[in-house]
Amino acid sequence: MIKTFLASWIALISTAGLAHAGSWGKCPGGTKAIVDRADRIMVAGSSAGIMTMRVVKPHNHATMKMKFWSSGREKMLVRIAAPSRLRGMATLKVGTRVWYYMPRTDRIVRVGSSMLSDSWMGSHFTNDDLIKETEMEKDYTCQARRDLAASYRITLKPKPNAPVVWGKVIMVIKRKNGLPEKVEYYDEHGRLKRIMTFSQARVMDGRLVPTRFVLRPAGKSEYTEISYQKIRFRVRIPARYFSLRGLTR
Amino acid sequence: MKTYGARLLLKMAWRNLWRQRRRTLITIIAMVAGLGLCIPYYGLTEGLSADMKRGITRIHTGHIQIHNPKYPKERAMAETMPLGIEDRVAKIDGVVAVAPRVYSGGLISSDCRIRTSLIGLPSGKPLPPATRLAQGKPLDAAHVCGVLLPRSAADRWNLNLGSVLRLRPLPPPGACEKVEVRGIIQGNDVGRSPKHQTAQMQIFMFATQVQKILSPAKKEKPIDWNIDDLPKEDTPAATKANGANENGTTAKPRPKTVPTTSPAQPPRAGVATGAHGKPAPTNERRSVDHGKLAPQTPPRLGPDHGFWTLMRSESNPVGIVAIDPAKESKVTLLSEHVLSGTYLPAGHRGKGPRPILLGKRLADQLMVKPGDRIGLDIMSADGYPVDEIFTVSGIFQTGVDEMDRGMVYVPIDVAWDSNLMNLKAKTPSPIHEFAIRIREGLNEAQVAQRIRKAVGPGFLVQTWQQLDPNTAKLIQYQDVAIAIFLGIIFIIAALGTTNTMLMAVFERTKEFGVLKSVGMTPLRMATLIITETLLLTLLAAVLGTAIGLGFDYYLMVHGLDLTAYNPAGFSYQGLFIEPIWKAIITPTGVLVPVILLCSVSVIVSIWPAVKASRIRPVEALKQEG
Repeated sequence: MIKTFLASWIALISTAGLAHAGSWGKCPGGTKAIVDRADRIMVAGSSAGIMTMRVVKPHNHATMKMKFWSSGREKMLVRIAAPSRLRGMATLKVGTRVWYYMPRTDRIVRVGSSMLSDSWMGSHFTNDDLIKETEMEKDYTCQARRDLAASYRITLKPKPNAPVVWGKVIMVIKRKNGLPEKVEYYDEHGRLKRIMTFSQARVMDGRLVPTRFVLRPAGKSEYTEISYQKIRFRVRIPARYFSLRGLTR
Repeated sequence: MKTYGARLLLKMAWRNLWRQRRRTLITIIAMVAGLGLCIPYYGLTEGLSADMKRGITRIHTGHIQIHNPKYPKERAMAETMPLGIEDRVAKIDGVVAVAPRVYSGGLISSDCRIRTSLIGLPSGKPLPPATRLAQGKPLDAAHVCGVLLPRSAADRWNLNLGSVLRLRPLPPPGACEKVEVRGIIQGNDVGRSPKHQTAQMQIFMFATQVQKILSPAKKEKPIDWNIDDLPKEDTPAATKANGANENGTTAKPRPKTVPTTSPAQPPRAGVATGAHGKPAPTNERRSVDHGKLAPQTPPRLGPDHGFWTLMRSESNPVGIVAIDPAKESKVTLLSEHVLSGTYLPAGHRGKGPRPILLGKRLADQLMVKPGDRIGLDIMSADGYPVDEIFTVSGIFQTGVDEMDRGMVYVPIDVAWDSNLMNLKAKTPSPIHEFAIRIREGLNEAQVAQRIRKAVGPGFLVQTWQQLDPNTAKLIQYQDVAIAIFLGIIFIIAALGTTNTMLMAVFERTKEFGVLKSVGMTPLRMATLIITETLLLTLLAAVLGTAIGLGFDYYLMVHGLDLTAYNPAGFSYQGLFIEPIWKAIITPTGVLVPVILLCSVSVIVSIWPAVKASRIRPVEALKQEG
């Protein structure tokens, strides 16, 4: 009994290892590299830049100009530069912890677990999007890949026990430059929940990156758009930026 | 002739009943028990229904609500209506009070200052002497900002493993600016050391960290937020332009230099020195001059002991309801649900933060009491988050979990303040909702119809049954439950009665034969049996109603005390059920069981009656007995 159990286990583990070496899940070899590259396009050691976030809802349009500094996926500091009434409002993320700084009342607010699904700065992004350090290549396994004329359409499923909220993710990646074009997020029942589109690829600090990100909840006529005015990659960011000191200054 | 016949029939029936005294009594007792149970059961169920209805109408919803027709679906802040129609609604017959409301969402947060004694442990000793670890892990070098906390402090300040406390003011650069609880310790005198009694809490951390925190503040270069000034990763560290005493996140940490400004002291024996050989400066000055809770003169402590204010921050997403306090208290029982502090004052004219009312569970989580200040980030109508400080005016408890945990009430001017919610519309004073209370006992749908007529089209007027169909259905199901219960009880009673009357007929076959042979018609015979049953039932009905009403009255006054099972009552689907279940007495609650009992008895007596009327005298007279 135990022997057969062990044997099957060993067989399972070895095949899993083999599968990992060549193809990825049910997809041909090379898929992993494509996904990984598209996934990492904005993550480059440390980067800093200026972006504008526009939240478009049926009755209001909020535009915020922000500066950001990030180091890998673990650390990030975002400070609002405009409008003036929000100037100095900041968000700091270190690991899985997030703090807000409210300059008007000089308060630091720690984002608790009950606030994960809440909106970040009134946008369609949630605090969870900020905190999650999901790496497609690590947390997902490939389900299918369709090679279209100009792009790859890759269906990814989260690995069991992976800390992800989605049931399925479809990435559309351009063949020409390997940039992501669209990511569709589905819930565990296979319903489309939201779509992120990438456009306006431009060279920024020597790298070709999409500079306009649009996040659109499925079935609604509202969206959040982030466009980058400037990004500098591989910059040396002092550690104190990613501290409460950096948050409140 | 006819009256005489009827009186004779009654007399005969009454006499016949008591010929078999024991059987009749048993039947009556069975019926009385049935009725005596049904009436209080009816009363209790009606009581529960009334409780549920009251929960809906008097806790938040009200009997009737008015909205902008576009508002309920998405609850978009811009879908408002003018406050002005209030006067028109208030004049309608049956309307007791009208309360305007504005809704938004936000984030509530509290900062709790804890004056703390920092106690350093030498690097080789991950646990203070004479203590043991109750939970978590001892200190380790991988988590330099990890701390150990005595059990008592953890309980007092509601801290767990992984809780993060901020230091305020921020210590010098390089020192921990926040600490994480890694372990909770227990020991005989942990937390009771007289040296530290001036502090509200004590924590244990590496001595080197305590020294860093207590070291004198250095002049810092302000952070340069210009993105273009950041050096590239591949430029050597020495040439970087930004700051002199910090490390690039990706570069290797440079050894820290001893700050020349700090008074260097030779390290004392028995005291661990800093990781970089930095001597530990004694620093009494810093330990007294911050925080309102600073003691007069702290006791002289070692170089690795000191005081600091730690901040326990807690935050929670909340629904924000802006209300007119005076009007709200006429529609809902909110002002009566205030446990501590006071209800929102009628007008906030003075200086200082505005008042806020929050639920008990939220207040417990945030560790705030009336008079404390809390921060609220409000989602404004333009889509920006705005932050504001409020003073906790009172803490309410409705028993409905969702409200006690996640709802706050603020004065309605918050909605129209351009610095806060900034709700604007073409009409002055836009609002989202009117909650209306109507006179007790009126039909909600009828009053709603009157309101609809008065306000005209363009407004959505809904009764609570339409707003909360689930609860309305739940209350309807209670009626079904009553029907089922009554059905079961009366089927049993009916079987008993049938049995009694059938037996009575069989026993008296000979007697009926005699009666028939002297000229009694079959119809009169049947009427006799039915009259007997009716008399029996009426007797039972009178007694049963008396007993049932007695029980019912007791349950109305004292109620069924369920506090043993749920001391605080419970909330179900946004409804609060009181721990004491009280009955209410209604005419239907008494009449329905009584009428049902009588009619069922008459119906079931038809069979014995028919049986008696069909007796053939010749055969009957042949029988024995």
